[in-house]
Amino acid sequence: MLSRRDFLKLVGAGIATTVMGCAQQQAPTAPTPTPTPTPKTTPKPTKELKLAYVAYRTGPAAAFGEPGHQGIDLLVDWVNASGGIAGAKIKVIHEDEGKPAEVVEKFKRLCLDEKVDVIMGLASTANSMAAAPVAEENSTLFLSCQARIPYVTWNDPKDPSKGRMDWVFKTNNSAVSHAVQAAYLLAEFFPDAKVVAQVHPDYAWGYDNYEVFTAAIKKLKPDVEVLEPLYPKLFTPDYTPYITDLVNAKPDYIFTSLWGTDATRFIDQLIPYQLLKGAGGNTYLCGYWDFYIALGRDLPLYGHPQQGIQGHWAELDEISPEYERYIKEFKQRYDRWPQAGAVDAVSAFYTWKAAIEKAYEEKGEFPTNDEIRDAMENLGKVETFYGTGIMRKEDHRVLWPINTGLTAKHEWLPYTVKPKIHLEPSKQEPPALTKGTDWIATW
Amino acid sequence: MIPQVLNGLIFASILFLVTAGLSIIFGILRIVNFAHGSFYALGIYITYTITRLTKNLILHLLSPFIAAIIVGFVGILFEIGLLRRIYGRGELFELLLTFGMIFVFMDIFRIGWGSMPISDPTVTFTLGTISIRGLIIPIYNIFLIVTAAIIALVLWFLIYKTKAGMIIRATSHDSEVTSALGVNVQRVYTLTFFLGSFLAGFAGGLMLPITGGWIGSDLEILVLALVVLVVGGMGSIKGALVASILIGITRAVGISLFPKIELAIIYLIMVIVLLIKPTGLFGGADIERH
Repeated sequence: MLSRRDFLKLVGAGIATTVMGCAQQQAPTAPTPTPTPTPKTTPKPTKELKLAYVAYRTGPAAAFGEPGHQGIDLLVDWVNASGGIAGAKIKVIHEDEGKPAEVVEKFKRLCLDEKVDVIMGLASTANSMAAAPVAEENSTLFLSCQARIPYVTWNDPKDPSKGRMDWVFKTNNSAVSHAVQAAYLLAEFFPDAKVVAQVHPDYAWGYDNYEVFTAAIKKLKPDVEVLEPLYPKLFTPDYTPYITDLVNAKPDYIFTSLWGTDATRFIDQLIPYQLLKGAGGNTYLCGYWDFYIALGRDLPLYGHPQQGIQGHWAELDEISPEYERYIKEFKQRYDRWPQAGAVDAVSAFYTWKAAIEKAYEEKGEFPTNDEIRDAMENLGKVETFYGTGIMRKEDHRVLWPINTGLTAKHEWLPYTVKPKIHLEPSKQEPPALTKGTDWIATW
Repeated sequence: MIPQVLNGLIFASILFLVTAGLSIIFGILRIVNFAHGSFYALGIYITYTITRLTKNLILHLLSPFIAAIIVGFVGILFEIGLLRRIYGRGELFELLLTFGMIFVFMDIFRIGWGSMPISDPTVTFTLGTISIRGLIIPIYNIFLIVTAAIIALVLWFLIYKTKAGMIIRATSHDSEVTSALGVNVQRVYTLTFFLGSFLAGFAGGLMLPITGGWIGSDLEILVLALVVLVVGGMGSIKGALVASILIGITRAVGISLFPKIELAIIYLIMVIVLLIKPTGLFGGADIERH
């Protein structure tokens, strides 16, 4: 018979092995063997660019990460089919994300063994913070494009006066933008709202959203009562205890920064409680409806605020023909709509592509990665099929104008945003190397 | 407070079903089945496959049951095909096999259902809510709690009031003597594994409309079930029931009162119980001791 002590040893061993097993599952694979040298008689091979995309492919965060991988594949297929970037074909290396220590190891391997030209992606704030210095130390371009961490390019996230890194860029909009949008939406569309609740995941992204939103709403609508935030743990399966608190508080407006499967679960579990407008109640939910439809849902509630993700198809008045092709090919290939991750991937890919083309044009031959980096920070504008971003050299950020508003029906997309408000970058992103709350204090 | 207690009961119901399965298997086979969480996740995935086929409400409500039967048979295959070969070879073999199966199942989920999380709340939306003294409760939540309570009763009846249950309890107490009395112990093992896997699959199926499923949900539930198992006392169904309710309700109420230490509360309970009563609340490994 197994004694309790033996069992506990077993359980301990089992849990330890679980952790190790997970780590091993994500552990770096052996480096690809060096290809045999090409015989001299064959024609000179075309240059190949190595693009590593790192984002969650498994677990609850795959709902955000996997569309990024898929979007990159689609874009690379397009570009390779039309001759590559400046004549160079692109090879994509896909990596799952995992925990910070694993991501650091992956970044080291990608920089040193794989010798990739660029790394893009990362959905987690903690992972981005851990991995960005690795790219910097190894002089490898890292385009942070999924996590919405405003200070990923800074040398010291707590002290903007120490400046920015040289090899790290951020191409998507930030947590500050999202939280400020949520405050603008409340002030613009719900002037009668009295009580506001907030539900954010219990880590840096959630805290940033709470701080910035609360600071912004106190400036824009000082008469509103802001309730204590609810901070469910990341990837909580069961939100009902939090929902009960919301039902008791009966707020007029709920701002949530839950994302991925968390957003979907929260909305699924919240709808039956007859709290939300359109589902038996009077409360508006400001959140990521994008994640909701990404898991194959019809949008059940129209008129609920949606925060803007740069160039998201739901926010645009007009979809360009190339964007329409992207959306439709994505839907056809992967049987789902291209949501936030797939839109983020576009921002990074086009920034990188534009930098290579600019450097190539200036040099007349294929540029080195140093030259690509220089060209990238001096890009000025980043043109994509969904709009134009501005490269801010001071902190290596691409800034985007945003449309944000209320969800409405659309003829061929799952939903659109109408009416909406247009916010130029200066209205929703702080100046370079400035904390969001410091910037809002100057309003 | 009443709504939070109700919420706690949902969580407790699921914890009980999963842990009862784990506990029964441990009680009879003396194996901690680390693949138990995978049977839970398999229940979610199979239920999802069924609910995607139809919009019929009755079928949606029955789908966890159908899925659980399928999962039960998968459990039988696992027991006959793999586990049986290593009985008596020591805990390490059992640990490696059941633990290794977690990763085999993860790949099965990835190949069969993809790596994206799945969910289908149709049944929750269709059933709607009821209002009791101004308290809004989704009907599905009540269905879930009542179903789990019925299963608990059936389980109790099966183990303590039927001949099959008597044989199970006897095997749990002393398999050699039971075997000498002419009972086919191998068959008892197989049936036990069916029952344990059935309960895990059923719990998973019930949770599809609420949490959905993802690769990793198997490990999450496994760790929680192990905590309940230890708190309740190894092999004790009654312990599993009490510990599930204790942990489920404390967590729900704790979120309201001390939101910062939501997860810590669960482990705190474990530490306190083990300090006071190292064998767990209803400790002792024999299934008939209650």
